[in-house]
Amino acid sequence: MKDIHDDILMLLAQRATEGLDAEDERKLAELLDEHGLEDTLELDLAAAAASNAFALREAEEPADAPAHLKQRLAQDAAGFFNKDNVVQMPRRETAAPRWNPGWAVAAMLAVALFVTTVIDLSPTAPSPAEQRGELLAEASDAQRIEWAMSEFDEYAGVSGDVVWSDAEQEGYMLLANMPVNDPGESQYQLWIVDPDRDANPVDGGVFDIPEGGGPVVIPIQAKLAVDKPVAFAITREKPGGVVVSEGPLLVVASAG
Amino acid sequence: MSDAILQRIADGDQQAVSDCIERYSGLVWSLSRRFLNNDADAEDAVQEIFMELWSSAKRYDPTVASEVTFVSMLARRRLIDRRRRLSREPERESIDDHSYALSEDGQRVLEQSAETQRVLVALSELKPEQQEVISLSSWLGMSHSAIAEHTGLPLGTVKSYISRGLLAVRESLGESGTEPGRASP
Repeated sequence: MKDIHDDILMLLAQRATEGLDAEDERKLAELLDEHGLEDTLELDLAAAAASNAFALREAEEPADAPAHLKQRLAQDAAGFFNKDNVVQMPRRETAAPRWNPGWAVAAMLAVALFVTTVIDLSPTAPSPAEQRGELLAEASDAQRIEWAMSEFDEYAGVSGDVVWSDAEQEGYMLLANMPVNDPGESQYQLWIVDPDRDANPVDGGVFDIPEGGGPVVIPIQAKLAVDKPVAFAITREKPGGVVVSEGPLLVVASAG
Repeated sequence: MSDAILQRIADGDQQAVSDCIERYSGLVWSLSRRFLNNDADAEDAVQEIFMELWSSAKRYDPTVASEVTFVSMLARRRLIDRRRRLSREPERESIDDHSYALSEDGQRVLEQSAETQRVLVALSELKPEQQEVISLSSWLGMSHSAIAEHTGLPLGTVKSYISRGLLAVRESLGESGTEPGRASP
């Protein structure tokens, strides 16, 4: 990387510190490809290491993560290793409990017990979240695309991403803050936009967001082979889904 | 608590999950508050980051960087994405507040990291104004244009300081060491 083109270096540094917009992401990918370079995240690691170093040098008064947040993380962990189809994480409560040392100690003991007794790592079918991790780790072409902010107020808080591999024809949605649906009235449906294949988007499967849920991981069920998807979009349809959607596109992830 | 937590999670070690929360929640929490400047958003982000962390455990390569650097990188990428979506720049005044200091857990993890100590040395060898620019960018999360405005330096100089500085930091990664998460030589 010592002889790296200045433009590439600048883009990698920008990505590592403040992120890139879709156009710059595309430009970086083209430049790396042009120079036959692999994207190794080295400057992202360097920025993280610098951040850690300054954090150590500049920090003054220590402040720990809230006990209720640690408790939710422990519950998330239990969900992560659960083999159910949809992994849910508990939603943030609007009124966080006040800090109380006695309560906190009890909570942490409960968390420790919860984690060690509830999480079952015996060899069972992996959860969607685990499969998503496997895909990211093992599929060299796996791409991760963030959901863009929705233009619809009800969906403006939705975040997360889509992980997709063309080679494996496998993908997963991570959705946080997605509004709950009543499956008897309507269901969400994913659409995969692959213009090289067809002008019409490919049906990516129907799914539900249950009550009381936080972030969820949902497997993508592409009904047809997908080559180079440029976008993923979610609509809300009648129960069972539709063959052709009239929209609107509630949440969209575009590959730049 | 044993080392190389992510490798243990990837291997299916049950205890490693609670160790992961215990060791890194403070660090990720501090980072999230600093980047998002809002506790509610930060809590949501921490949950997403840990989900990503467990999913990505198998991607961690101890020969490339220490575990704490990998965790911090993954968290930063998620936070940068999230902040771009929210179009939110951290406020310098709020960042300067002590409530955004490093957590006790996070401080302990970094103090134990030989890699972090090497990076501190590498940073100290840079010009003071370059150190300041990299600190504002990597530690406080300010945008390049905001740094240019804050320091009075031309934007091109800011970008150059950051890119060259990160290259210097990168040289101190991947060296042999015996810290948590790094493979022995």
